[in-house]
Amino acid sequence: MATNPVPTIPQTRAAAQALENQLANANPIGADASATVADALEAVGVVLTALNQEEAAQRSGQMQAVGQDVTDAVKQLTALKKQLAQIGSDIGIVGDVAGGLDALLTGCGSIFKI
Amino acid sequence: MERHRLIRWCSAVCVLSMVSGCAFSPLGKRATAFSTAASATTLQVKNGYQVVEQSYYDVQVDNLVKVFDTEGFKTDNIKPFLTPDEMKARTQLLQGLQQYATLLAAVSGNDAVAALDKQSESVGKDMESLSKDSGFKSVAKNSTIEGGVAAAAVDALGRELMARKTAKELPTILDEMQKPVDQICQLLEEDIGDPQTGGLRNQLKNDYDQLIADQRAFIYANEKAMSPDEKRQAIAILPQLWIAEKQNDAALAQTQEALKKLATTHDALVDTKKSKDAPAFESLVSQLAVQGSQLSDVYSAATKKEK
Repeated sequence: MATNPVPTIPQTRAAAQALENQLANANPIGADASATVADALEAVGVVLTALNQEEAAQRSGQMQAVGQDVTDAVKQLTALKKQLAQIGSDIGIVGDVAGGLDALLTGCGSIFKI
Repeated sequence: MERHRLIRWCSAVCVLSMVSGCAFSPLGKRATAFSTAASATTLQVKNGYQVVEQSYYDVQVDNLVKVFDTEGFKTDNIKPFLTPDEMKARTQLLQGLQQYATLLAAVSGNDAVAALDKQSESVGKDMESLSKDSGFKSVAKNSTIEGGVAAAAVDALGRELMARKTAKELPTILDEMQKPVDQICQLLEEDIGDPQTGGLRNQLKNDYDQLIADQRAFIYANEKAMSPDEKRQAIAILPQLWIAEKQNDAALAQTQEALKKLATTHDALVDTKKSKDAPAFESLVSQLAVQGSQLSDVYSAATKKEK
């Protein structure tokens, strides 16, 4: 039986940037939707920075501890997943936001061991 | 009799000029022109780092506003995008290129290069230790150049700056430095990166996306407490942020182009070692000078807007 390969840092980074683009191009109307998008963008930004650092650390052969901010960001994205999927079409997000988030969360889980 | 003496004197001057390879040689003149244009360009690259640092700082201030009521102000939460080591590495690479350009102009001239030696030696030493620094690894991480090759290029430039050179060695200097200068320019160019895949342009894009999202959320969260004028002003910031993002990204893209042009112009200078005329080089060096001056205008405008 075929198993899903473990996502690499570049694959997870690409998923995170794709989600960032979807959120940046969204047009949320109202306090709740706009706060959800801003919070999700902030969390994706933290994850992207951590992935860049992890990639650099791997290249130089140095291990680095996962910061609490990354763990918090991943938790926040998990919590926002349902909300984003619900409001996705209303705020003009094109594409499968839940699928993108899943790819990002799976990658973070395996890279950061969260 | 007088005529013969004049001919002898002119011959002696010509022989001396050829031996010393002085400023009046076509190559010396070209090296001086390259030096001026290259120095102007490297100065502007530093401004690119400031633009990214500013957007990163703005995002942190936005985040502070969001959490202030619950978490207060923690100084740890305000950090530069590039750590001091990372910024120092980039600054030293640019200083190395700038010093190399100055050295070319100096060895092309008739003046003794002794005054410059100390400065070159100091920058050269910095370059040699730079290749082992963690800050340098952060520059190399976005590059397609292999880490060891990048470090060797930096070492080579450092060694060249530390060696005592004279005018007649100009062609050799150019030959030896062709690859290292190309590689250092490529390193800095790839460090600026791309809005989607990484580097400074990616950070800038993501920062502005966050600033726009935060501003929009701020308006919706506080619109009931705003006067119509206050709400209008808050809304007007949204397109301003969007335009600033596009302009700053264009400035970084232009900086990448200037670095690419610097390497191409240096290659062209190397190719003209034995040529009397070099129209292709003349065209490239004037383009490089124009690019440097345009970048200066772009970054001055960006800095004024920030203020």
